Amino acid sequence: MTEHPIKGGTPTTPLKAIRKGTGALQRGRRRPRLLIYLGILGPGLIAASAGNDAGGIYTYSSMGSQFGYSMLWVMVVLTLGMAIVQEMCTRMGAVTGKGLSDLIRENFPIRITALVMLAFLLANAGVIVSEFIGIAAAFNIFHIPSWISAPVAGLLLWWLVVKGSYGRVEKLFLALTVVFFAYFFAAFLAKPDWGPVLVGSVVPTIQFNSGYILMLVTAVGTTISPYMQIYVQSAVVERGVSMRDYWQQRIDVYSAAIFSNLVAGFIILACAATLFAHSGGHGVVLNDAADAALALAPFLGRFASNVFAVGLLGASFLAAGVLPLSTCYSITEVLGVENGVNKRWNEAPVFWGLFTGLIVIGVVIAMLPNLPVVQVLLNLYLLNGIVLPVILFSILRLVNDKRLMGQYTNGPIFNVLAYGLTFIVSLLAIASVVIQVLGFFGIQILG
Amino acid sequence: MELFIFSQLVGISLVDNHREKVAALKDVVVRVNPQAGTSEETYPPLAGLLAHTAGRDVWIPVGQVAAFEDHAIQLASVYVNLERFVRRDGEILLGQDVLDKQLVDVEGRRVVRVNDLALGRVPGEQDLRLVAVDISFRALTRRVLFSLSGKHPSLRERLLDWANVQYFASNAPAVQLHVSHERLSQFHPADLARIFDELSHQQRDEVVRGLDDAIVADTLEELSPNEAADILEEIEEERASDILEEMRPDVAADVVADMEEDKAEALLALMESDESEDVRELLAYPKDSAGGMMTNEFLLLPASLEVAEALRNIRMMEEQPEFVDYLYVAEPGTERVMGVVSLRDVVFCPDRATQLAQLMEEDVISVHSSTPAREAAALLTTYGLRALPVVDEEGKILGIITFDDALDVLLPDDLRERIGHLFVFHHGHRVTGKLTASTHEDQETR
Repeated sequence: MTEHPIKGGTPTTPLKAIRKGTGALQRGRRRPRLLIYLGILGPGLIAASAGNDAGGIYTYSSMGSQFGYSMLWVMVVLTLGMAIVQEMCTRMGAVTGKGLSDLIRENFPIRITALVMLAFLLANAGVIVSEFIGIAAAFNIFHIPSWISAPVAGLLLWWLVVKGSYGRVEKLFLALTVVFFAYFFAAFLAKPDWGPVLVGSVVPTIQFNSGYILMLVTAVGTTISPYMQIYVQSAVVERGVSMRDYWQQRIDVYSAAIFSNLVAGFIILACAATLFAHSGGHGVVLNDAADAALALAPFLGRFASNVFAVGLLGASFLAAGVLPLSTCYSITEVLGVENGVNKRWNEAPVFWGLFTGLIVIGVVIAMLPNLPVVQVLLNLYLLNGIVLPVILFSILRLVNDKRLMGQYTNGPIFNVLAYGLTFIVSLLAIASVVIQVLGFFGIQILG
Repeated sequence: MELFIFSQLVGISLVDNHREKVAALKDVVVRVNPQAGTSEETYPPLAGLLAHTAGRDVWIPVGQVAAFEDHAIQLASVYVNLERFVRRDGEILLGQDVLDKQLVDVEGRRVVRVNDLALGRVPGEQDLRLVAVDISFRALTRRVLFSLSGKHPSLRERLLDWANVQYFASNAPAVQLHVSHERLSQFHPADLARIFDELSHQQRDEVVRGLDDAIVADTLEELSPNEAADILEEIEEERASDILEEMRPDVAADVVADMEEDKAEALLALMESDESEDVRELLAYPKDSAGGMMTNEFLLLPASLEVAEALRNIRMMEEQPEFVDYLYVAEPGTERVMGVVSLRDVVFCPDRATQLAQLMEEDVISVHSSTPAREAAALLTTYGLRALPVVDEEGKILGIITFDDALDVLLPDDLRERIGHLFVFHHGHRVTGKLTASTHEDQETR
């Protein structure tokens, strides 16, 4: 008879037996390895896939239909660029445990911080507007006018985020974007001329006309968007990745860059093999969603535009749900004001005001009648490309700061590549601004 | 009290006694008292100034500063010693190490960012000290749009007394700094957990180093197992194992399960053997089963015991289990559950010689260790129980599932998060205790 209370003690089960044991004891509570890897192989992939949003689809489609295979090499270069930039951000996240905007605030003079964050806000607002335009364009294919679809979508997203239930529908949107894999098949079925494809992918050719230069900057702005860098760094911080398990993170970043740009490359390929080829090699300027959807016709036939619309809808909703919120978090964290979806309006007025404002701007612009959709989107991403150097210089400055990064600053070769990229991007951005400004006065310096 | 606002001091002239400019102010250096928060001296005194002159930064010790005026700082002598500034232990630069960095607002129990700083004199003293931080949005706009919004800070700006903030030594990595985290240990573990979420991992590790094992254990229980595992992996193993011992075994098992295997084995090996056995035992069950959700600390007594004896035995227990509302009654000589009795009924039983077998409720609702976690949790709410015994095939008790663990399974993640925040911050009043305790009816035990 037991005299004393038993504190639920049964014979010892050594941990080794648990792992090597049989049947029910096997593994036990331990999370399967695969899940851990999937958990870490995440932020980079998501950030990269998010790059293939409404603006991305249109940018890559336009690159293919206007310039054929001749811009494929750009994606090869941008894959390297994206890998370099995202790797720096994840490394900073892992070493410092702080987000990019936090580091900017803590290490830059206050006015520089204000300038960088203003540039960031501007770029993000542009992307948000482009997502709402994407949503409206997708609904247009189903003959729903944008003055109905845009406000309804805006209200829905606003409500989902405020109610805190956005996370539940996110996977649905993500699932919708799967249809963009159709570009792989469309590209093959269009029977492209593989010789020129190969040449276009490896031989850099630059055409000195303003259309080409502007498209180049737009491609840079779409592929290496400022918001992706902030996103990927905060995701690393959020997951508590430290330098000990950093190698997995590095693999994630590199594989994500390759994967997302491969998708982009196939969009260009599909459009080049159809739209560009059909135009007799002159190139065709896309005007609306229906034009862009034609590239999928070899694979999907008459369903092309409907399937395209579904994918566009998913991609745009996905980004339109995440971006306003993450923008508000970055900005309010830098300002040091209250933030968080669990705060009320009067507790976090700046946070909710900014959030609502960004959605309203997106909705209002998307509602404008007779909007030249593709041209507006390309210009918004051009804005991203112009703002990008500011963010890149900030990243380089921080990642090479010994006080912050200790032994994990950039190595010399890495720095040459990173600075090289930054200078090229800056030159392109300046060139595009000059072209735009002169164009505004009716002067054309390049053909 | 006359206040000097840091952002407005930077750049002003340092003048000699002929009122000629000899340098411009670059930064202000104060000395941090390692016992801040516990001792009398809370406000860091001015140690000196960092000034810029002739293309170099020079150090001006506080003894050479004669007066702070509106548009200049008067120096005591004609000579400026062109001594280069070398950081000394315990000294921080306001501009470099405090401004724009994060602190904890102890009163508000939240992480804030320093938008500006105020220096002032404590009554009866001559020397300046750092007395407050400005966390207002207005201070920020004033710094960005200097010329537009006027020079002087408005009275409406919220100043936070330096005595009410917690500084992090990791904000000033260039210097050896000892900062007491005594004030944070007064926080409710749920508040600390929330603050941990907002801090960088260096700051978090620093706070963990400064707190007692028991407080760290309570805080880790509030975090997700994954986050808790990350934090424990940063602590030296001997201490990490001590912290694990302080944690409830079911939570400790969740945390250990999220660690690298070698690390987990090392920590378990360092723990007291009876504590680590509890954890190892729980580790054997899959996470989403009743076994994976249960804790193995509970009260189990033989049915033949009399009330007085039972109470004495409970009081003599070396380790008090967290949950003691129910007393499980075992078939004498075995660990098979025969019944359950609430501790209240045992305590208030008028006849001290009554056997537990007479008091107990024989119809015990229990689950097998392999029952899915959700099903087990649902059972708790259906019958309005506060705990549910988990048994093996022979009816031997293995552990119990308490209602708070069940709640974690039943509430969707985002809702739980929102409820937590809603209740904790309602009008700034902190509600302690489990908010759901009142929603569950007490089990009627006869």
